[in-house]
Amino acid sequence: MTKVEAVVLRERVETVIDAVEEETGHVGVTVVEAIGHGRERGVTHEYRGRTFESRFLPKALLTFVVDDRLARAVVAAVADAARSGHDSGDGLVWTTPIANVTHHRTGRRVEEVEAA
Amino acid sequence: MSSADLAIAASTVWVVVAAVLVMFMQAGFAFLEAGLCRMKNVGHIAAKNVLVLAIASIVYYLVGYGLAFGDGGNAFVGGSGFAPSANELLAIGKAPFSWFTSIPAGGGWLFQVVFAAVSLAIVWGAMAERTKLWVYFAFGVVFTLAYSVVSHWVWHPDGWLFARGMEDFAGSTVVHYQGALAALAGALLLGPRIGKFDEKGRANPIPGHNMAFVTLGVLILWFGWFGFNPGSTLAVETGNRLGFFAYVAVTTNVAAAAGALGGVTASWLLIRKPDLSMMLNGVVAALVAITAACGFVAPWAAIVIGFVAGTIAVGGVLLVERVRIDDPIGAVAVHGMAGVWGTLATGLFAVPALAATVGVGRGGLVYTGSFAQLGTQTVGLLAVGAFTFTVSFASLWTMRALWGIRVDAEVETAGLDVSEHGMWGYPEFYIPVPGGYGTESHGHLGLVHAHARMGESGEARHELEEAAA
Repeated sequence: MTKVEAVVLRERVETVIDAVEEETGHVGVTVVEAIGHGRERGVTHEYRGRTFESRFLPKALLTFVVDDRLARAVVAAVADAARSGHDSGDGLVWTTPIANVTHHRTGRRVEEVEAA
Repeated sequence: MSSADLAIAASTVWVVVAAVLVMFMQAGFAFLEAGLCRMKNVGHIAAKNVLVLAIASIVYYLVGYGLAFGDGGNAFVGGSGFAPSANELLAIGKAPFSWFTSIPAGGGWLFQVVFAAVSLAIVWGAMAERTKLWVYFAFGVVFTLAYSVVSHWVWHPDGWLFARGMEDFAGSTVVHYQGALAALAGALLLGPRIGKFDEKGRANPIPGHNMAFVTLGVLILWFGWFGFNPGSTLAVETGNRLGFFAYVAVTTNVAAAAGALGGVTASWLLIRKPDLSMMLNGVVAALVAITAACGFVAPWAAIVIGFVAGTIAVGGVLLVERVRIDDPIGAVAVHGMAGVWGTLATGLFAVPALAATVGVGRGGLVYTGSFAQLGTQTVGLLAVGAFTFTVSFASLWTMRALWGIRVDAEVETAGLDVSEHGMWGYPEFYIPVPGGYGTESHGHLGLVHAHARMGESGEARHELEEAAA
């Protein structure tokens, strides 16, 4: 199995998940509200006419656990859907090989269930 | 001081206190509306009530008061008293405001201007979360003028509806119905918020962010309504009754109580849950409905009027959504439909003796068997409906055609707080703030981290706790 993780703009979360479902048929996601920064190192905010720096920006961290054969398509779908058209801050997507993915309810490994 | 002087002094104290209570209703609207909207629009929604009071105050001083209550006008508008001088405001029962005989003209101004501001506050409920800020200024001026004209019709002896004997004690029609008519025009011209209706036209709930705020707002409104209705006596003596306003406070309170029960009962039956926000809508709807009737009806009728208004609020909110109008606060149902009900109910339940005491109109259908009063009320509703809706729709339509009244989709998505004002109602929810929630120097987290660094050293921890204390 493959874990696909993506840091995306919070307002793109549902767009990205919908795109993954539509492109690949893969269902299921975990969403974590996150803060962080990339090469821009945060942003300048304004408050009562004064500015202040904020190192972190609000983001969401999405985790998909997918079949190895789906991984490339899911990554492509995420990247397309997460693109906002802005100059920076759209985030990243990456994959990690994982093992022993098991359903709590049945105690069976997902590969076995899907093979059956 | 003669006893006549004492009566004027007492009346002035009462009317100014009542006006201050009504002014505080802006806080009620601020919390009610902020609570029913999303976090990203809270600052915008709350601040708008200050803007409304500011715009209404200046426009009403310059033009509105003269249009509504100035001497020398005709059946449709007042004709003097624009930008009144100090002496004109200090005078009692003299030109240009000779209608106010029990209080100085300035007392009348204060009481009437906070009414205009309440009516204007109602408008934005249905237009919430998607209207450009400048529209508040521009339409605020237009609406305050329209409001002043209608209040002349109903509440000034020259006014044509006053002459017909229309019974609207404190403004179910003048204040609430009018506000709701403009709200409806605005909601129709703006269209629904993004995501309110899906492609098939099904309504999606967009829950408000804080029901305790809504509750606080409604309780403040209930509190303020003791100025709104009883204060509309404009004196401590009404007809031959001293302290008549106390009776008006009683009908107001039992109606509001019945409205809470009507709202919660109707929501239990219609949506199978005793919905908190519906119960609160029921309270406000009942207060709106009893506003016309409060000086004219018996306590039992006040309870009936309030209970029915509570059910109208629930059915009305659902109906407005069914016809695909997006009214985030429920202004059209709560102020409009309940305002119509209250105005008609006065024509049904007005007690002849109370109408004689107040000195307006006559008894209602239930007591007299005559449809005359009900007919007058209906004429008033139709005329005000046609006038205020037309003025509101035409002016907002023109603004939309020329400049656009709705914010861009991007602004609406990001929220009006940051887009329109460069600020958040809840900054730490949207951005990491220096030393704020989620940062290392945020008090609670900081202390935990410090403990971890200190390990189990009792002395260091003791020092730390002393520093924290």
